[in-house]
Amino acid sequence: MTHPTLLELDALHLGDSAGVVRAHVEQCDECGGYLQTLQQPVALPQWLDQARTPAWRRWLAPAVGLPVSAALAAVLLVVVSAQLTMAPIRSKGLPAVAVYARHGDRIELWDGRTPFQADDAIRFEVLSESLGRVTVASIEPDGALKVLHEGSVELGHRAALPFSLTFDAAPGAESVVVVLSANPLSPHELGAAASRQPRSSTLWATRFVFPKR
Amino acid sequence: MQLTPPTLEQAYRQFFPVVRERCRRLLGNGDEASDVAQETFIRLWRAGECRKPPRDAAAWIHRTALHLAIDRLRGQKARASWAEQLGHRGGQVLDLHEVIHNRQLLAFLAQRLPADVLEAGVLHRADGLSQPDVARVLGCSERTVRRLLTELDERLSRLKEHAS
Repeated sequence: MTHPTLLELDALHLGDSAGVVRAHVEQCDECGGYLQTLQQPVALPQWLDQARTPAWRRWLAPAVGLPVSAALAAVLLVVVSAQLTMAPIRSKGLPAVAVYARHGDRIELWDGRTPFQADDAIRFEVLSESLGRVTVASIEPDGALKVLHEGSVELGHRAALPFSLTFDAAPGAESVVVVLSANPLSPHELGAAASRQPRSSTLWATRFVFPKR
Repeated sequence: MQLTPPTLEQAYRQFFPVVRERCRRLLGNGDEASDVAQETFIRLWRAGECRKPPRDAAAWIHRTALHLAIDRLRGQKARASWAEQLGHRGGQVLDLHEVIHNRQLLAFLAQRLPADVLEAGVLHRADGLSQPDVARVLGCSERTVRRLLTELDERLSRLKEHAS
């Protein structure tokens, strides 16, 4: 068996969507093990604690101040509000996704309705107890999926995904799908998840439509 | 809708594991690898490479970590003699796969070979990258890579002759 190079595996971890490498990793314990090593949570060094940009802290401030149960309820509320098809109560073990919206200097959990304008931004926070991979893709006007982020999530912990999305001035709503899975997804699997929005113990997807003013 | 560049903390969580493993592979698990990993990450952040496509960012990490590791080893005092490093191998071909598992051998070569020659050798012979990939990582032409690898072979031959 010819293994991918470490360069290819590192690129895959950083979000590269090379299908051949991904297919190999799914079948190869050695390469899969290396990727798992990269996906372990990393401890932040002290210098970063002092130097890091406070922006996201400000983003999270409203949620941090909430009791855990209230914060979780807010997470569920956002998902329920945003997704009419989602069960009103989150079943045990199924994931949840929250959207934090930044409107100017104001940060809040998105209510599923408030429209966005240019330069507003959003971030996602996920909670997953069993599905360790997250893929976020935008749904382009022609229906094509554009992967924005792919990576791992720490199971059982609320985790802010390491990117934000900033709205432009182009007219029309923006659609984004968030998929949680046990393993990396092929483009075909991602497409199927985006259209069917499965809610099983092995694959879970939800779709957000962000209206714009 | 556009992706916004990651914050420093986000970038650290995403990129540092790659940097750390690269440095461990080159320098082992000690403080030296940890120092080079931190330095590599800081350069990554300052250079804005976190915003680049994953393949480009990974290539940048591989090149910079290797460059910093070799630079670090070149600055150290030579601890081993030619004979200690090469003599016991007799006439055997020096295997660059071994370099990656033998920090002392990497240090030995770092002090005797031009950095670009050793970098090309490690990427091609130890990391298993194709010549086009080595060219992409090093930011040079494939022709330059071929020249560097030829020079590597010549220099290794001379080292072996000297040791024997």
